Amino acid sequence: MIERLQRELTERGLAVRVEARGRLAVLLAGRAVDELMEERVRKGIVDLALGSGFTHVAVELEPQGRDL
Amino acid sequence: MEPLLVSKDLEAKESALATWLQERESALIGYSGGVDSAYLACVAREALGAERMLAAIGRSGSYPTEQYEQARGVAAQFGIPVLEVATSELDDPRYAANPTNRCYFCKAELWRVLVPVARARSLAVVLDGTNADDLADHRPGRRAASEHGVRSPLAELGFRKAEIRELSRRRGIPGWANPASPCLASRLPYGFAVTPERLAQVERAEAAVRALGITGDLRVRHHGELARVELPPEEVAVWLAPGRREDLRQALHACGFARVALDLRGFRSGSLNVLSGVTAA
Repeated sequence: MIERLQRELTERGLAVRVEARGRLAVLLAGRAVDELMEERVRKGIVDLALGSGFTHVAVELEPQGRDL
Repeated sequence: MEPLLVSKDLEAKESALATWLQERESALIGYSGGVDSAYLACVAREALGAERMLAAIGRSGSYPTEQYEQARGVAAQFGIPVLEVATSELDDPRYAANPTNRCYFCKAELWRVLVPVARARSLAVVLDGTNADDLADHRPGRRAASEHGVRSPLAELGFRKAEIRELSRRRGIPGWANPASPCLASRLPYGFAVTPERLAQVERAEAAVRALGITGDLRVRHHGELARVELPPEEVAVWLAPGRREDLRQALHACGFARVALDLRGFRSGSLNVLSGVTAA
């Protein structure tokens, strides 16, 4: 589940790390979090997460200045 | 599901509710101050009079303070007699373990306390504010109500949530448009123990999010050291903006969450039922 989502996000050019907590996917996005302000990007991530077997996907709000 | 009724039919429905209550002669109402029980209490006060009805609030750590204040405010405005009783569901290990039927143990405790109160005061029936829409949801608490002989006139007479809101608006009941406010334990994933400390943390966290100016349906879901915030969907992009997301993170960090995550889909009622597989995604 996590490997598939991680791979598909990478293939889409999204530099994020995925942490699985059961069926919740937590994305650690670093500076890429800015890209998630676009609805199109968020919807794409949600679709990939659901397709990978997750029911929930959230992005961690990391302290500003922290990068992956 | 029946279609929503137009104005004239709504009045007839409310009249039927008043008649239903008068036929029982007296009632104790499990009263949370939410939209449904507030409406039921107001109609009962009018139909039965203050001497033959009682709105009973079960207080515990899972009951949000904001909702308690709402309940007391509505009661004061409409002259509804109120009794407060303490409930001890948090002391029940079956409840505290947070199984998927957690609500059964909570409601069983509530009715275990309230049914004898009704008997002692010679109140003929014990009622709750379950409405017709609720019957389609995952609601294990319904079984506890049934086991204790609690009746649900709003559901029995087919009142839908939108109709209750409209009738409440017409009566001037504050909070008629409020979002649903389920107990604080609903913010903890099933299997993650319910403790007074975690409930208090969730309550502080949601107050902190609202203090940022966010209104409407929102939840802070407690995943241990991680808070997962569900905001109204139209707010998600707003709070992903650089300055805003740091404000949100710091607000929740100050409530004891080491990590904060924003749900990309936003608020979903029953979200944790989906996460645990109780209901479909």
